[in-house]
Amino acid sequence: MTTKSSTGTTARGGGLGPRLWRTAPLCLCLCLCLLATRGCRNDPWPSAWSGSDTYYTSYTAEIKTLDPAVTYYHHEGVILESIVEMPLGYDYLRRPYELKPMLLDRMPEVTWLDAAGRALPDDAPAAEVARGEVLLTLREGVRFQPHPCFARDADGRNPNLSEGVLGRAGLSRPGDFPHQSTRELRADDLRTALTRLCDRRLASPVFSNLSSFVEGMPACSEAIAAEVARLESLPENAGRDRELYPVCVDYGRIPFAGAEVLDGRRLRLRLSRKYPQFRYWLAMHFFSPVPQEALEFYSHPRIADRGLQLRLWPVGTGAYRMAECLPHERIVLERNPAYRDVRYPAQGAPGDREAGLLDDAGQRLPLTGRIVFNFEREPLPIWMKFQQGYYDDNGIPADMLDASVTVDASGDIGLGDEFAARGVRMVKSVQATTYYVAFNLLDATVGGLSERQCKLRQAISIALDFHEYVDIFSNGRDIAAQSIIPPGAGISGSCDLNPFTDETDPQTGRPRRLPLSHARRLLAEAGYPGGVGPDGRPLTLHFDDSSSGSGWKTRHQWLRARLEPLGIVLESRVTDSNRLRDKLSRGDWQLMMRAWVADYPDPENFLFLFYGPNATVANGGHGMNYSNYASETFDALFRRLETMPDGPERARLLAEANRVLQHDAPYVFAYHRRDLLLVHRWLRNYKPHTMANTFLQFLRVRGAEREAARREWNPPLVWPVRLALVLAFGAAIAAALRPQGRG
Amino acid sequence: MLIYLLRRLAYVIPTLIGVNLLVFALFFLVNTPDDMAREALGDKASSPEQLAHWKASRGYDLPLLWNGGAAGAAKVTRTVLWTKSLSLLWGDLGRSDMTRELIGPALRERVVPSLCVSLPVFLATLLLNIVLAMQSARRRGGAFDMNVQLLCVLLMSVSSLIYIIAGQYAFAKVMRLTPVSGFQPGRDMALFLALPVVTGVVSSLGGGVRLYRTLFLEEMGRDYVRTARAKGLSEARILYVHVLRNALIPIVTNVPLQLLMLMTGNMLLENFFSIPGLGGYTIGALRSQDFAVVRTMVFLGSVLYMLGMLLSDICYCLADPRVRLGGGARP
Repeated sequence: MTTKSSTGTTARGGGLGPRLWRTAPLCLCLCLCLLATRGCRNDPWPSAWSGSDTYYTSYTAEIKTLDPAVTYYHHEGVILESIVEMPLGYDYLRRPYELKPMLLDRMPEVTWLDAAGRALPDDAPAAEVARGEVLLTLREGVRFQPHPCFARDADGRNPNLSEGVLGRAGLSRPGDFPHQSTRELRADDLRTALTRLCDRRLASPVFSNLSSFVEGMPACSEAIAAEVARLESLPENAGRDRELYPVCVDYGRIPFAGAEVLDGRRLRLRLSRKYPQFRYWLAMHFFSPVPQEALEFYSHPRIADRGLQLRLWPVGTGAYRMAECLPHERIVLERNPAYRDVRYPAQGAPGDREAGLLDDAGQRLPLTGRIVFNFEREPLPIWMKFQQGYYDDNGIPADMLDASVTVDASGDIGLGDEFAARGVRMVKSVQATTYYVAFNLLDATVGGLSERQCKLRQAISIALDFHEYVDIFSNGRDIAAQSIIPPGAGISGSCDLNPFTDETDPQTGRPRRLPLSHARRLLAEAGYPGGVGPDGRPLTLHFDDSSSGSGWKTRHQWLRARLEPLGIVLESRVTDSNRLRDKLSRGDWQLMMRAWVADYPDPENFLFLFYGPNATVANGGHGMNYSNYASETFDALFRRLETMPDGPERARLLAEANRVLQHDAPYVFAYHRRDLLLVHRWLRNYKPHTMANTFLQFLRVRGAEREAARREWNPPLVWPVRLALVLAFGAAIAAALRPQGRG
Repeated sequence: MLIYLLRRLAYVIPTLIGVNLLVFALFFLVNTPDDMAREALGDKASSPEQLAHWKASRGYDLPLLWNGGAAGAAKVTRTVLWTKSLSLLWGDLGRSDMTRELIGPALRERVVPSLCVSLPVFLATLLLNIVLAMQSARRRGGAFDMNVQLLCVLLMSVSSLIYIIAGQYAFAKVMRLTPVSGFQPGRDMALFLALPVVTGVVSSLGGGVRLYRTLFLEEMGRDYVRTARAKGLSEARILYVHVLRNALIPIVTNVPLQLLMLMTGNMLLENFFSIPGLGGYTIGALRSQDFAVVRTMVFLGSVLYMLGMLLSDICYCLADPRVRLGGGARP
């Protein structure tokens, strides 16, 4: 019974009936919540893709551009090089890396010529070569992906650019346009791609490098600039927003001495000097053909207004084409229906057959129908999804290394039990990367090339024991470096031991650092006995670094601790990357840690970092020789081996150049990064390749096997949530059922 | 009130100019246009010609503050400050310096995912804060109150990052109830949003409950509550009708400000749950030294904040009849 107050409200709770009625919303909420738990699952992918041959991977840095003239980052390269093809490509399985024709019908035909235009033998010294000619002959029957840019009506106009089509809603992807067509690849597409590299508006990262060996690039750049200015001055372009709607240059009409189209399938490249490494450049996406039709299509203001641009929707002849492009969410590639008949290689390296890498020999590529690149900003979610089977492969985050791998007494890394039980494989590979601590050779203390100055750097190199560093900071995953060239990365010229810093451990047969007593002796000979300089004060060095955070703090501490026994004081100067660049360009630093990632598998791509004319300070901050190392002996060796084909003589020169660098010690060679990739059992044919990004088409995904594993590994555990809901709502309902009293 | 509103609006322009100048100064104190160009082009492509072209194509070849070589007004208008920073005042958001993407459409595209997370977090947090604070205040000094206070202190003592990682581990990995991260519009959206919303709510619960409890306790000690009890009103009615209405004034007046600020996204949640919203957009811009996006996001935050403050004032006036804008309190 309730008692009505003067205000007409209940004074003391209510009867059981009304109180029960009050709990109805709570009961309803509980039912709804319990019902909602039925739909719980942790599958992040659309159910329509379940069981399909889709390969799932992720990227953690934003995609800035997929324009073949501009893209430089690895994660962008993997996407782009699945869509476009290059004149040459690397054999997927063979090691050491081997170039073979991709778009070309045969390997490039190279002729070196002297100043009089006479042909010279292949091994002619670089000094005698005035220029070179490279004949590229395209394969027959290569077609571009179906794309609206190729569609033409009877009048030769693109029907997709008519008012009737452009006025339609929902044209957010090239595939949405009603008229799709393709055409055969021509030599002028290759010339267009090369000419575009000279367009200053694109700021291609390789323009400077290519200009140093391809004829006529600066002149071509000038001609493009003049053409752009002419087009922009035309009355129809008056008031046109150059940024929103850049004028489209017909690159075929731009004079370019470095590339001449001979006919539909043949292009002649002209090189300004002997540079055998140009063949590696032909395997980079900068040389992938670009159809002029695509440039014209994307330059149409109505197309640009829809956000369709070449930098997001590249047009190529590759195994895949872009199906969905949301760079800050995900990118989806699908099989290119116009892809020519390309087969999985029938031969590989020793051990490939046993590893099952030749099981698909002769199968038509691509083996996987869809590729999904998912944008994840943090490594932990990627790792969890990999464990759940939602990514097909993944590296091991540094924080998870201990929990994922086992290290035996000899230091070999194996797979942890949890992963082994699930059939996960571990694939190890050495990256073509070298981390180093650089000395500024222009510095009064650590610089110079006198014997005493070299001994100081050698002493520091011994003290900085990167064998220990690798054990501490990467659990022995990486490889302590003996020279600038990484071993086991398919690049000739690496060396097993740096005799100035290391010796062979008689027990393990592996290199180990020389004893600190040796370093102390070198230091004394360098004029710093006990680490004390001529002024009677401890030798104090400055280590500049742009990294910050707890990880780097411990690294700095390690560096300091390693130099302390020599009496050397190391002061860390953490600064931002901009200030660091300033210091580099001015030569205002002593030590800093950096890394070099090779662009192609030739030792020249590492040794040029020490070539005197590439010195950073002398080049106003733009040379890659950050140490400003300038040794006549090394420079002479480099000039000889730079243009020399691989062989015994080059091997001898490489060994000599390595020895000079090890003695002069412009760098403390720190370590080479070793990748540990975990691959689920349903992903077949994965073989790491540090140079090529075209591997996706070779992968096979067993979708049904993956789906079964996902179901087995990811049954939702709903009861704790249901129990919690029942308890929480039960408590609320009980409270509501209690008679209300006055406070 | 109209005069007050006009006066407040008049303050907005100089404030925005001040914010713009501050962002401009802070950004260019530590970066130069050359640094930005190098960041965009990478070390391998930063020849002097390429740096110059990058700057020219984006308008960073102009002097920063004063163009001595120009004539007349162009001394001011042909500067980076004018073209890149003050241009925001007339709505010209421009393009990203790094991707050349138009910033306006990018904001529109990303604001929806941001709101999909931040709005439910905000509403659920508000509701839970009120309910828990009310119950806690009602049982002041009792076991329930003590437990809630303890829980609040615990919740406040733990970093948001821990909630996110622990939530992902517990709900997505161990119990396998939701995806670890990701975002999908449409039917499955709730599945993807459940975990970020729950972690967002838990991480922002403690402080709110304690604040609201104080507000409720203050109200519960007032004369009108004593009068209501004397009149025989039920405790529930006193609390949920009279006390709540009065205690909510400072809460509700703050809501417009918080609601508008939701649009700028939650950086941490969006980062860890891979939600393609404005929080992640801002982080990406900061990492890549994209001045155009950074200054737009700061500008947007300032505009929304000032607009929110104005709306709060109006709400306060509407919620509390004693308050008059632009004058003293009503008698």
